[in-house]
Formats: sequence, C-alpha cells, structure tokens
Amino acid sequence: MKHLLLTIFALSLSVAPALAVTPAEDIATTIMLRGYDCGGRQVTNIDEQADGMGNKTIRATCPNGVRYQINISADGRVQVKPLR
Amino acid sequence: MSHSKLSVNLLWRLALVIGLTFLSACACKHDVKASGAGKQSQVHADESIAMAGQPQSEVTDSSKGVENPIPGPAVQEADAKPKQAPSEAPSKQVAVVAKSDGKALAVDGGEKKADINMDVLIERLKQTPAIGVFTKLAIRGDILDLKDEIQTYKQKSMLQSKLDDIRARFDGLLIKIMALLQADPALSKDLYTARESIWKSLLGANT
Repeated sequence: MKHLLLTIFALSLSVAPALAVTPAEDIATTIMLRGYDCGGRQVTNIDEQADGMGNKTIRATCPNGVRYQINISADGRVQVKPLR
Repeated sequence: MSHSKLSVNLLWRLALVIGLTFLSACACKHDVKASGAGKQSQVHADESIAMAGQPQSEVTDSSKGVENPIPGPAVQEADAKPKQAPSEAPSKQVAVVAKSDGKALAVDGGEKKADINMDVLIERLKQTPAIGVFTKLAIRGDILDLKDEIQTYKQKSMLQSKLDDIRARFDGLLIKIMALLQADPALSKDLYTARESIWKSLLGANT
C-alpha cells in the first residue's frame, strides 16, 4: 500500500506542472508541431517582440542549440523558421 | 518562469500532497476495517462450523470471497455477513454490472454521441489549460488550412478523389491534438468520440 501511495505521489508531482503550460513549453511544442526538432520540451532565451499591427515575433533557443523564430500574424497564423 | 506561475505550481503541489495524505489516511482506515471485518467473519465462520460439526481444515477465508467446498447453513450465514458490511459495495457492483453489460455500454455510447455539441467542444479546446496559446494558434492554423484545402478541392470537383488523403490528414491532426491533450484526458476522449461528427462538419462546412 505504501509503495502504491509513494508511486502515486511521485507521479502526481511529475504530472502537476504539465497541467499549467509555461511559455517555454508552449513555444517548444509549437516548434515541434511545425515539424522541427527541438531536442527537449522547453526552450530558453525567449525574446518576444510585437509591432503596432498586431504581429508578434518570438525568438527562442531549443535545448539542441538551434534558435528558432516564430512569427504570429495578427490573424493568428503561426509560422516557424530556424535561424542560421 | 514567472513568480505567479511558480506560486501556482507550488500551491498545486501542496494541494496534491494534502489530498494524497487524506486519501492514504482513508485507505489505512479502510484497510483496518476490512481486516477487522475479515477477522470477525473468520471467527464467526470458525464458531459456526464448529457448531455444525465441520472439519476446520476445509474452511477457506470467507473475507476473500472464496466459496467453502461444503457450505453448511451456518457457514453461509457467516459468509453473508462480510458481503453486507461495506457500504460502498452496492454502488460498485452496479457499476461493474453496467460496464460488463454490452447493452448498457451501447446505450451509454449512444447518449454520448447525442450529447456532442461542436460549439462546446471548440470552447473546451479554447479553454483547456493543457495546451498553450501558441500551440492552440498553430492547431487552429492547421485546421483552417485543411478547411481551405477541402474548399479548393470542392471548387475543382476533385473532393471525392482526394477524400482519402484529406481524411488521413484529418486523422493525423486529431492524433496530434489528442497527444497534446494528455493533461486533459476527458477532452481528448470526447474529441475521439466525436471524430466522425467533426469530420462530417468539416466536410459540410464548405458546402
């Protein structure tokens, strides 16, 4: 019984942060959803810029070292491209 | 990670710890009661068997629900006691019967299909905390692309010939969304249940 409870406790600790998605996880998921390799579930060095037209540009670095640029247009279209 | 999100995470973990502690306390109490009931029933069984003149070596543990090879009337009474003891037993039995009955499952599935509301599903997808904002936007873009493609094929009267390809893309997209919804299994299940309705609405939306 104790082992079962300990297992549930450990699982709950690992599952709990998954419920609230952080921006780092969100961006990494978006990159992977567009078919690019990220090498992990969280990005680092997030740089976010918005212009006056409602467009947003995000730059972030994946755990594999590749830096990506994510363009989000005013109508909500998402485009991902790797930065060289 | 921002300070507020960190504190929300900590609060969430604290709530989980409290909940699990409470659950473990309840489980321990339940175990104690169950073992106590088992011992009592064993004592009852031993006494009644002794009174009925049956050999003790043939007695099995009545608390485990194993049938006695030679069930005398007194033993049957002793066996009946622990079955009535837990108050949760009837509801659990009803649930098991409902699950094991094929008809009940079919009726349940029919009710679920009837309850599917596309607007509610879309709203739930928008509100779910299991997917981040950018990911939701990316999924939305994929769905809009698929809709545009269907529209294009319809205009060229090529929809029937491309239907298998579009369906394959739709299934792939659905699997992607379901994979992203690991933290919201209820929504994931409902989406999978409603996949045919979603597919039909996707095809019908452009007519």
